Amino acid sequence: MILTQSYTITDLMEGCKAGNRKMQELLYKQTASKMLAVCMRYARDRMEAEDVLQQGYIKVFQKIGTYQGDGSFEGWIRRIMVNSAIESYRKNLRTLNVVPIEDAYEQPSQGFDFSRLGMQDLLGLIQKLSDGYRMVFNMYIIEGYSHKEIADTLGISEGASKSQLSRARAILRDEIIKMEGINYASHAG
Amino acid sequence: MHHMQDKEFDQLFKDKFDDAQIEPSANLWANIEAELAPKRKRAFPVYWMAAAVVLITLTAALLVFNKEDKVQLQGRTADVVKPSAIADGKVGDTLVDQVKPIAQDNTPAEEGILVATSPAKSSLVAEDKKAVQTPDQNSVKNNLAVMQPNQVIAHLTTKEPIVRESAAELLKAKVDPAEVIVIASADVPVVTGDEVINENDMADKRGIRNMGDLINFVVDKVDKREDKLIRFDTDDDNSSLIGINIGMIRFSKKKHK
Repeated sequence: MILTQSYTITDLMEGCKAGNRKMQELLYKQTASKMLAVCMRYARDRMEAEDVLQQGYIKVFQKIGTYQGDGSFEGWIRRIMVNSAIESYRKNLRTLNVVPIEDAYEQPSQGFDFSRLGMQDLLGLIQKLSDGYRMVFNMYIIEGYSHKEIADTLGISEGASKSQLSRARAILRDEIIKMEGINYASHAG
Repeated sequence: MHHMQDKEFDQLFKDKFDDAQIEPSANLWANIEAELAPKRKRAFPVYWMAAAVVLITLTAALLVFNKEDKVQLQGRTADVVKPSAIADGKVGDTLVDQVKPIAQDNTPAEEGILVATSPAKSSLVAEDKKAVQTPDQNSVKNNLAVMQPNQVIAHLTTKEPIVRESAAELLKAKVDPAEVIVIASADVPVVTGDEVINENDMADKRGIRNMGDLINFVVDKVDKREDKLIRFDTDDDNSSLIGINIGMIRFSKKKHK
């Protein structure tokens, strides 16, 4: 997103703190596409991800007064999005049903190298993980939570967090091999 | 693939998502905005502020426009209250001017009493003007005969504000002598000085217990008319509006005696 040159990130922050609707919209426009990419990793589909994104921005504008300026502003917003996603997962925990990963086969992308796999390809794989695996995988690998933090946040044991991560990795590897097929196997040696 | 270390594998994923961007649906901001909207309520309700501005403006206007009258009238009041002045027929300069027209139509004795009695119920000038279209000179005289000038004068001296208030109406009344007579005829049978004083004493004893009392108190100080700018009934500790008088707009639940 291209931000109008006349506003700095500080202007946006101050405007949002004052409840200025125009500034809120500018902040949203500048950061929303990055934040949707975060939410998409935690959600099963785009609709769920946009719900999480919406609730996340509501929280951003409500809590912006508490942002002290430590760490990057974008990082602060990102953490709110992740928390919003975790909250949504916990809220829906009982109503969610596990989608069997074996059904999640799709056409391989045009690339044959792991490095050529697009972000969208990997995202598709992550979204097909069962909800528990997906949460642990995202929190540990992308966000950098420890198993202890994950266990505390999700209300599971550390051992469960570790085993779910291992299982998630294994599933993703299998899926990637399916996508890459023989091409990748021979290439990687 | 299977020999790839977990760390390596994790890093590849991480890198892929580091700067990932996905454009949200076009209508998403509108949804967020809609959800934010109710939370931007004003700290002060607009209607209360508007009401306060109106009240302050009217109060100020009344203060400015009533001031001249009141200053004059206090002078007259002093004259009226003096029993000797009435007895001798030597009322103050201003009062003489004011009462002269009446004197032409009535006896001197009536003049004195008239000044004393009319205060009690001066507002009737407006209300009863049409109702009593033919002032009965005889009945005026009869009623006045019943009245006891001394008693009335005594009340007036104890309750100065009422005298002032009535004097204000007398000023208006002087325009038409016939009108003044109407006041007398309408008032005399019902109104005694005691009744009015009791009503006011009651208000004083109660003190200010709620918003209605407070507004009544302030308006009393500012607006000396019988029908106040605004009046609340505060008898049961709950204020309810019983009277409004803004020039042309007038509303009153109170029964006129």
